[in-house]
Amino acid sequence: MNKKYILGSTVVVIFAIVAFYAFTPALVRYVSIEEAVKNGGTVQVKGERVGNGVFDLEKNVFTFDLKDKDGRQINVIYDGPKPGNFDQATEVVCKGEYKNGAFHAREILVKCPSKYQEMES
Amino acid sequence: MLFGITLTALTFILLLLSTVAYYLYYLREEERIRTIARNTFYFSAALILIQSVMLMWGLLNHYYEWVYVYSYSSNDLPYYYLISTFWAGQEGTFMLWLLYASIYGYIIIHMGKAREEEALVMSFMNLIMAFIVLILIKKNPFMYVWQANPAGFPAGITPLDGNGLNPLLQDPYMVIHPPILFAGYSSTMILFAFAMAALIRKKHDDWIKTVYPYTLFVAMILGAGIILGGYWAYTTLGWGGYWGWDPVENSSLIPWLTSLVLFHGIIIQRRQGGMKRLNIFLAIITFVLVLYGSFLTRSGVLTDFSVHSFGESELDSYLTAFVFLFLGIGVITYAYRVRGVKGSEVTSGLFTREFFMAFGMLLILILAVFTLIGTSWPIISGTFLENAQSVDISAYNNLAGPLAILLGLLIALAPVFSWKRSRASKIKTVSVHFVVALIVGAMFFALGMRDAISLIISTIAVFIILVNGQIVVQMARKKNFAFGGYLAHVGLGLMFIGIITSSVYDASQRISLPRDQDVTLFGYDIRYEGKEADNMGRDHVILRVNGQRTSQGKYYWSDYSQAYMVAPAVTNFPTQDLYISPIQVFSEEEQQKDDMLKVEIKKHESVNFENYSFHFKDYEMDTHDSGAGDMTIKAVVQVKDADGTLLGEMKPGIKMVGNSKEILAATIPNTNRDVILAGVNVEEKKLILGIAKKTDTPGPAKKPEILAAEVSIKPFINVLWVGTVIMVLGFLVALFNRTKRQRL
Repeated sequence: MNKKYILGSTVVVIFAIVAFYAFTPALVRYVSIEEAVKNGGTVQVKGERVGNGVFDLEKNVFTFDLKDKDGRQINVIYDGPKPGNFDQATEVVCKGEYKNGAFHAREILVKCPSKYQEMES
Repeated sequence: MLFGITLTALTFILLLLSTVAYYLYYLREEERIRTIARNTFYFSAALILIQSVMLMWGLLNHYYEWVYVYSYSSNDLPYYYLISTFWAGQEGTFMLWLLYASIYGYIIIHMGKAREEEALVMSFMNLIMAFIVLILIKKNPFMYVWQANPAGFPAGITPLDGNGLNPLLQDPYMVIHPPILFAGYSSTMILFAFAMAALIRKKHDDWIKTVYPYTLFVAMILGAGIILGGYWAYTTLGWGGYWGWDPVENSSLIPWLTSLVLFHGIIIQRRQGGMKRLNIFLAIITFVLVLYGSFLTRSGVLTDFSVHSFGESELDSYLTAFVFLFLGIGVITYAYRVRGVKGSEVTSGLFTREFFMAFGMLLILILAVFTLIGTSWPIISGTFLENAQSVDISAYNNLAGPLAILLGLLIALAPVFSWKRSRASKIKTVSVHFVVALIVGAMFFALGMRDAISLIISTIAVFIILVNGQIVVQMARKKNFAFGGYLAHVGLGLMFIGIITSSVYDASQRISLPRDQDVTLFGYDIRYEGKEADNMGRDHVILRVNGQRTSQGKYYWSDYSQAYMVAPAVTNFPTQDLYISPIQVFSEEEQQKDDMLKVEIKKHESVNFENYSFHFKDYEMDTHDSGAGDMTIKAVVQVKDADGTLLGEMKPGIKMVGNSKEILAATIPNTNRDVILAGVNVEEKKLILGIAKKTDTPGPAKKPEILAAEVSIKPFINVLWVGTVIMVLGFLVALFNRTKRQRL
């Protein structure tokens, strides 16, 4: 076989391996709050926010309560600023880990009406 | 509105007619049929133009009886944002697609050299346009609000004001970013049409000559659109970044990557006669990927996985059908005809320019495939797992690093090698460049760049800039304008460096900025000086950096979003940006409230507090005539001292104006201790008073207003911005060179 094809396929194989190792630890499962509390580990939970949350000036963290569709409620601590459009969010997705009685979020995705929103009818 | 909807329906019929007519013209090659086909196309293009003008007219003149105008605009928007409401909603963006498609069609017919290809290319262009018009028939912007929502609107009555435009979109970049991005999206249909025509006509060589400038245009305009989206995110959203591997961003990145591979492939095909099958495939798939992207971002399948949100759309199944239809047409035709496509060998040696290019194309394709899988993973995993999985952005960053190293080396070294023969030239100068790059790399190390991958990429990026930059200068001196590609690579090299310095070596800290006090952070004196309303009544935070007023950050209440909206204040210094993103403004009252002693009293009852006795008599309410929601509520509290002597009354209260609350403080009679109404419980007829603590020093010990903010520095981000501009310029030069001189 031609050298260049060998080289080409080697590169593809190498990057497939790199991709695999980049990919697998980055996979984050969607779970209910109940599972997040029970099993731990980095997961994503989705729910409605309860209230507007508070930004703590002393600790510099943002905390709020999240309620999922099973009605289970959890306190979320986010080491970061309150997302700009948090108050308009209909749904909040938190990526992080449950530990010491609270869900420590690394990332918060806020679902809110945006560019492609439908008419409120 | 019947007139508007009729126009849309008529456009659909004309486009279908033109599709058929063009196909007949392809079969029979009669001038007469071509005239019919062209005229029906022109007619439909004219109708699209009329509808666009109508929509714009309606937006500018507040025709709120139209559902689109009602949904996305309002009276308080200035002219330039009224213009941008045109593409604030789905219907408008599809209208924009059609408008661009009409222009592209006109160019293909008149200005291009697509004489023989016109029949089939235009037939496919018309077919695609017809499908988009079908969406507009289903969801027509000219529909009356009472037709769309009979329960909410009485028939025949124009609403006085519209729903308004999302304040996030009220940004100068949002006036130009979507039109450019959609120019890019719609231009990919040209590639699809040309590839299909090539397959059906079995002309696998000629098509690349006519399609090449369009390919360059697609790559340039899509790239520019993506870059502007990054500027917008950086200057408006306030999370401090410009790229987040978000599904919305990825869905425009993937077709851009395939378009890059495509025009490199075309260059190789022109030189060597190879890569014929790949090029046709790429042209087809680039368009299908754009459709797939708009399906991902508009159908609501990824709403749980993206920071952008799209609302469940009734177009879901329609968009799915759209993607699969054109994927089907493309893939089936390709599978059926691909055997007939015979190319020659791409290269014989390992050290040829074309081998390096092919290698680079492979790497870009790997990134494209990986991004495609990652973005679609929630859908893929959802089919075989109970709970769908998403992919963290670390996956993309971890793969992009090694890819960038290899790709960078290829881009730096490719110009050294000749076409066809394994022969290197300019070895001496390139060695010099390499040594200089290493020295600069050592400087990066000395400046603190310690991460291996970052250091390697930056060093290689310098190498890219030197090698390609020298070629640009040499060619430009000889007035040879074929340097566009090299210039674009210089831009890419700068972007590599800028991305690393600004995103790997940024620093960030959350701080509290008390009003009118200097806080020193990252070597800057930052001072918060309160808020100031702009001409739209939106509060901006006034900041001084080293005594200079900075560009303003925003912090204002938005009725539309029912939230405080923030936008960062970005101060651009030559070596770095100081990026201050407001988190929250804590007013004096709010802080005072936290710091106060709380006393709860039921109506008509008394409570002892320190030496006083408080008796809660009643509430005093006052609804103002000025506005519907405005009202003042005050509690009347009698104060007696320990002996039972009446000292007087105090009336702490709250004034509600719209959504903002103003606290009306009172004082304990004969003292200057503040008393506020900290809570009201109407049902239990209770109130909570907040009383300032006793202070030794006379006078109110007020805490100042505080701005909590995230402050970060973005080193050498200017290098990234300059890089993006140079890259787009490179494309422009290449496009100019190709169209003016008809050379590859």
